[in-house]
Amino acid sequence: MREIVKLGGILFLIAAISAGVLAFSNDVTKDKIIEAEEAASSGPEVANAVIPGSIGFEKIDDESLVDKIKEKNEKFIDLKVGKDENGDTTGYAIRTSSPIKGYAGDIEIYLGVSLDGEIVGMKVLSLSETAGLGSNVQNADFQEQYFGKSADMQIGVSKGTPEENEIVALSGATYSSRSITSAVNNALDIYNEYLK
Amino acid sequence: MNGFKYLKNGLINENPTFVQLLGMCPTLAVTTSAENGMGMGLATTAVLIGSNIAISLLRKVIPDKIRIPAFVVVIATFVTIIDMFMHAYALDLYKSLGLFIPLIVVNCLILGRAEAFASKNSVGASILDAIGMGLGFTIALTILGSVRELIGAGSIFGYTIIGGAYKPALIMILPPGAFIALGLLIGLVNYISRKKAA
Amino acid sequence: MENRLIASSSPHIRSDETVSRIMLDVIIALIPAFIASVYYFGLASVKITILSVLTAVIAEVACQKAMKRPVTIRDLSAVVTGILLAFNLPPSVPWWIPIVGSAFAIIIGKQVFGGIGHNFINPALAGRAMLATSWPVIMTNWVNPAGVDAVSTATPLAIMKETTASLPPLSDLFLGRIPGCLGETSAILLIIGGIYLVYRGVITWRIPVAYIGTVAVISLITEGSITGMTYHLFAGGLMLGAIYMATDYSSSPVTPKGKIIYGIGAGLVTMLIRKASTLPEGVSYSILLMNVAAPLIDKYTSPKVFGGVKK
Repeated sequence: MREIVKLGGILFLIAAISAGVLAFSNDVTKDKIIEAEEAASSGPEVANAVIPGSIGFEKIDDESLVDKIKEKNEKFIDLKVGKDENGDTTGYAIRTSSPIKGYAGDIEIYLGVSLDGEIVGMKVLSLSETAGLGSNVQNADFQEQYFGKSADMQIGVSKGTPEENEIVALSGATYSSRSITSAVNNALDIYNEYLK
Repeated sequence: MNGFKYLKNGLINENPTFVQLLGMCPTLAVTTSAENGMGMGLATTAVLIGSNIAISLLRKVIPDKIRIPAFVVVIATFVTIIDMFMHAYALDLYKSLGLFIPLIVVNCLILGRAEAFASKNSVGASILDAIGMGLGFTIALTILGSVRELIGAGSIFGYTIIGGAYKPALIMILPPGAFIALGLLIGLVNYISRKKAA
Repeated sequence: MENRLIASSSPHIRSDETVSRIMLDVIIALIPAFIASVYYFGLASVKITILSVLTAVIAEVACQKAMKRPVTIRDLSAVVTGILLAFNLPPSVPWWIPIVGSAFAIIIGKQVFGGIGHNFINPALAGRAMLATSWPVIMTNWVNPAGVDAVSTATPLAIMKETTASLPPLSDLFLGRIPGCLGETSAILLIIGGIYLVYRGVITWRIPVAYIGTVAVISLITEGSITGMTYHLFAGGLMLGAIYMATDYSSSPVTPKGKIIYGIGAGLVTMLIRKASTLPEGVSYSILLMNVAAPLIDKYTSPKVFGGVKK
């Protein structure tokens, strides 16, 4: 009996000290973590990639809109506005995941739509597609196909010569191409319904 | 054994990856690039050094009967600390390594060294052993990552080495390539060590 | 003094079968399909096959010399591996694909594990799987037969899987006038070769019949029509795989019952991949999977040994 108490006691002590050390580390790093995550998803480079000319994102004026969209659209994640260095709004940044699954899961993107309803930029925030194949949807030459398209049409995926409202799928990565296009279309739907 | 022997042991004679074949799961999974391999190796080394020191300090205090749970608590604590710091200061690497950072807890290498060495030797020796094993692991993973990245993506550490007309063999950055590359490297190491012994 | 008794150790009766004779039979069986591939795909077929065979032979010589083993290219097994690998490639692949694939097939698929008789998987399929994983776009670039331009088209299986485009007529499939890998297109010629091999005793009917039969039964159920079943039988690499690749001696079971189980298993996995996965074709992966299962199958289908001492 005494031995069990002694063993339990020592284990308790080790666990307690560990917990203390962990709580301390947590305090030290927690703010920096939030900072790093923010920068990764809405720092100046991200903002400029999504809406060229922006230096950052800000919350939209009508904050209840975000919750409203979340209720109706289950793939929607967040909505921000881009601001340039003068503080003027440069466009909308719609963050959504993909209604159609990719080869290995959903693809999450920020889509940049200008104030006159044109796609101006995008950034992939999360994807688990095959490296060297589906992951190439992050390449500039693939993403450029979307830029300049008007937000009032849904975009299709073609394997050969694309029509005006289509983009060409990546060779060997049709599932990934379709998935990211579905995310773009979802963002366009949101734009047309709530932001136009 | 003097200090240098401990280092050399971990680096060459008992290299965790090529000789002991410990920690194969993270080895195969994260070495899709040289940077990931090195990052994982260094994270594991940090945990190894921390846990070896702590366990060596506590070796007279921890009763034999509960040594395994005690070791695991200590190791898990260090892994969580490293995880938090990587999340804060090395976000890209943190995202690339993903799930495999918390999995360092079950890397046989760390528990193995705790049981085989740190619980029986002085703090100084344990530190050297940790550095040796950790560096051996890191170098092995970096080499494997470099080979896979070079053949599978034409680059090393992100710098394109073979560009232009070279079509990278995607298999190398996928799991089958990991097994093939690791197998061939271990074969090479065996061949070299046999030649040396002869 | 004609009746002298000769004393020697067994075996006392020898057949004239040698490894090279068996391999030669396989090569002969593949010639009709090869001629068809040249007819449909032109010089590309010749180029790819020659590169593949040459590389296989050179790789085998190099490996055996480096490992200080006797050089056995005369048994023609490397030639067969080279031909089979070439038949598994689309006609539009660049010159280095058959070279890399063939070298991998011989070096890693065969020699590293101990040479002929020791390979646990079919070396040509190992080479093909490695090529398909490494360069998926190049390895799925199909062209129409007797067409010089590499216009990307889809194989019949891909059409069935993905699009609603029209399928080529059944007669085309039977004769081989469809896009696909070099050697897989002409079903009828492959079957003729297969019959020759059974006649010569090189393979038994069990594996091909079990494999093709299982695919027939399952595709009849899933497609609901004889036509659908026929498309599944003649499109893709089923004939090539079931007759020539699944029957590799060292990677398939030895026991008769085992062969049937192996064939059924391969058929099951092939249809599973074709219908339930994102890939249109599943023959190569299913044979590789069954290769790995073969020792287990052998273990459980071994005949009972009578006459031993009870432990």
